[in-house]
Amino acid sequence: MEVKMKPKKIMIVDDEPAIAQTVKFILAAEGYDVSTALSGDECLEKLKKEPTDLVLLDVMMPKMTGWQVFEEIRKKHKDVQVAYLTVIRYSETAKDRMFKDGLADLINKPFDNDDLVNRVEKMLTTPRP
Amino acid sequence: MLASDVMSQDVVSIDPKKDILDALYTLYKTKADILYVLDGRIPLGVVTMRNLVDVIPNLGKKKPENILVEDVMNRSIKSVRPNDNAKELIDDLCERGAYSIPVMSGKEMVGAVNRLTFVKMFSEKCAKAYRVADLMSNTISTKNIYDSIETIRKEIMDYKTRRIVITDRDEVKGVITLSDLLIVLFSETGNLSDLTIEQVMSPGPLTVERDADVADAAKMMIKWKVGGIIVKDKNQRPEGWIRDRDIVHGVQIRLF
Repeated sequence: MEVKMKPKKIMIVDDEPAIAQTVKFILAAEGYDVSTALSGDECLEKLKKEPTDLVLLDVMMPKMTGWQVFEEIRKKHKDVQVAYLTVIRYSETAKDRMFKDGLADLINKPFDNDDLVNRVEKMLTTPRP
Repeated sequence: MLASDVMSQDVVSIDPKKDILDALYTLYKTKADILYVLDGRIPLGVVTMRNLVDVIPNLGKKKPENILVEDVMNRSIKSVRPNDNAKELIDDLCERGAYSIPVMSGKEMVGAVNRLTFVKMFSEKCAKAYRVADLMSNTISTKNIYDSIETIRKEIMDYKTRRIVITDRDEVKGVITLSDLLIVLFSETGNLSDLTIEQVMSPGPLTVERDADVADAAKMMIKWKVGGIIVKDKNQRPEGWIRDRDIVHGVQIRLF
């Protein structure tokens, strides 16, 4: 008997609808169940209702920054993995701080589609420390 | 009203031996205005975004991870006792421009009184008391989105401006604050001129109309943890700020 696994759920959070939709399109084509949120506030509201495996989070957003949203997710949804999607190229030292704090990955925009897919797959298959 | 009646025990703090990257990371995550540097419950100093910005030009070959909080903290802190009159506190928050004043019992810090405390008080007790135009500050700095980041840095450093509104053909695109400039300490090159305004600015800032109720603006500040909201004129152009400091001034006039 074939057992179908439920697809992993990913939420894209970006105030630029075009970016959110593009990332959704790329990851949905890989079989993931993808939703979007256009603000940190919307993301946190949705997380209360939708079980989610991974949040891909823009850093510079209106009202609530990605930093704040990450902190809230870390406090209230410990099982949800979070990765930043960002235009800033962070130093290795800065990245280390964020990884130590529980961030799963840091993906630079603009990104290569294959690289994005590979990194998402790695995050979702690697057991959390 | 006493300091103990209005103080908050929710204080964001850091160890003096942590480096300034940890301080910045904590400020980013909590959106706090100030970090108390504590040895147990004994305050040794405070670190604000301004302390960290002052470090940037003097970095030279020194890496930010090698600069400790105790090297940059401001050691001169004015404190109050739990039984001190809150009126004196509010005067300090308004006139001296302090963000937060520690409340001490003996040598130990038992809480702090912040601007946010009085912003909350205003939102609860002063509905319909003032229009934004009554309390707003008419001074506003604007720059174009295509200006150089160096122009912004210079204005913030030289004129002690806290926030600059970024526009594109009169349309508000974002805001750059001290904390946004500090992202350079986290960046790969450590050089501000390698970044663009669009990379650094906070997009989609909060705005209010000049005729709006200040209590509503206060609620927005509390909800989104911001120290200032852009006031727009009838043509949707930015004409000033309503800041936490202006609202504390409103409390000072109305309730004390």
